[in-house]
Amino acid sequence: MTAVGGLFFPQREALGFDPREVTPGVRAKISHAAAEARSFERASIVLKHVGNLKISNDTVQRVMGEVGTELAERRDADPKTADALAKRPEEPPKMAIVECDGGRIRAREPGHGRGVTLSGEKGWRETKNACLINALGQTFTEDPQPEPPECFFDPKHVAKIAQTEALSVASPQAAQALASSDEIEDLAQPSADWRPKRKVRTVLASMECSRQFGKQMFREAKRRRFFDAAIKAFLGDGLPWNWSIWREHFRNFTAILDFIHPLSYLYLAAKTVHAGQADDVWSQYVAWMRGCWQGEVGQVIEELRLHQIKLGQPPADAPDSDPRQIVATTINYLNNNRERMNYPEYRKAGLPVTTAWMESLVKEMNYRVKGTEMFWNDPAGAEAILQIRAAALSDDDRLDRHLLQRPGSPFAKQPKPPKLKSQTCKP
Amino acid sequence: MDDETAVGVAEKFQNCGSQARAARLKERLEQLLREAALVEVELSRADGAIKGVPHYSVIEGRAHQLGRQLSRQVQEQQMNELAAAHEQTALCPACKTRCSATVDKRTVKTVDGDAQLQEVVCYCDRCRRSFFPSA
Repeated sequence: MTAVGGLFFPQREALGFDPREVTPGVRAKISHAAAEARSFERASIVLKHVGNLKISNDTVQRVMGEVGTELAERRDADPKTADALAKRPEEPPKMAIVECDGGRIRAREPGHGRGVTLSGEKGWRETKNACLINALGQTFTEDPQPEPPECFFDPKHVAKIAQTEALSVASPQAAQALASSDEIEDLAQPSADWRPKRKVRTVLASMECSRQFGKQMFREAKRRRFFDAAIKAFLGDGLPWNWSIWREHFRNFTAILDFIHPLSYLYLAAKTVHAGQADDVWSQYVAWMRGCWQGEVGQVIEELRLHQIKLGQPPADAPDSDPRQIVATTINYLNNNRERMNYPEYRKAGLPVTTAWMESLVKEMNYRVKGTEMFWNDPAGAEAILQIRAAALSDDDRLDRHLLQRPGSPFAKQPKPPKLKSQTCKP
Repeated sequence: MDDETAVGVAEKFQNCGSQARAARLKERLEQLLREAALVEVELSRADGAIKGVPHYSVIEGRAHQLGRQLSRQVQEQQMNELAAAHEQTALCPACKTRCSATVDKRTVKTVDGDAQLQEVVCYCDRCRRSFFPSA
């Protein structure tokens, strides 16, 4: 009789079996439940009542870890091979939109188990998210929406979308006056819905550093033939790593700064140059916001420069709250991004001007990975759930395709997944 | 043998008869299922769904479909039997008028997919509405 250590099962690989005693169909159900339910415990309950399967929380977690690791391997596979997770389309997309953004996830103390968490900011880890969208759009000879939408004249709304408290304290009188103005209401109505429509979205998410994440995005875009698209755009907020990825991998994509992002800078600058005059602050914000929307960023910068001259240049050790520093930071920010703020041209080309698709995706990711009771093993557990959730949120059925094709293991023992290390990008 | 004992013996015989019938039916069902499994395996080779050593998901998927098909057929048959056994008339639950019963077909979602079930339905001329008798 052969020794146990030498046992192997020659058909298992083709059949898709491994030492875990579940069939591919059950593994698929566990993976979907783990991707959609808010915890492994909830997933186990759903499996029991909906799937008629008795699977323990621990098994759900282990299967999630295995599948997440496999998905990460396929994500990093050569895009020219069938190992790559994304489907290669027969035709390239007409409009290819790439958006990326950072997120946050709470992690346990590395190398420790449940209950060992880091308090405060130390427990947070940065995640990277991206969506690659095959979109349908139309082009226009004129700007289809020359006036900003009404929502950008509503301080509460802008505060919410800009994720800053600064705008929530904007002058309500001024806002009400503007919001009730017939002129604004009429002008803000677009002639037609010019915004592109999403056809197929695929999602990437990872704990890896921006350099590695950029490579992941490149491979996904390559596989989906985004570089062959007729119209290509890359959207991000002001985070420098977004634009490093664009420079390195997506340089021939039209770079677009999320229109929401400059709003908090503009409001803070308006508040600084009109200190104590609430109505003037709001009017100034609206004027600059409208200037940016209409592609007159140069004019906005010029006006800010005049205010800078009046206030003077900030000294090297000026704190962030120093009015001179606030104006200088805003000028610097707009200068750095002005090439990515030609919004009227983007609208004429039918391109998006905000990262709304990305923001929506981040909410969908967060539903599963971020919560008061959610702590992940850093980085393996976190990376695995990000892979599963990203695959489940992709429109190309990649999670099922992977699970129903994954090769098994011929050996009696589960092969150990490669050990991941926390990644930090070296400059 | 007194009357009480005679009834007890008769019941015992009847139970034995039922049990024997159930055992025979169970055996027949198992035989039919084994045969169905053999036919399905042969069919999956004949129609080319399974060649060589396939991924187990193909085997599992096909087998599961067959199981679902069987489940739907059992549910449909059970409902056919219930409908056939129902009386020709039923009392309207609202006005107690005796109404004639017919059999209707309806498609319902079951845990194993859509099934077309037969259902007894009556129409009360007095209340001018249909009802579905419970027994």
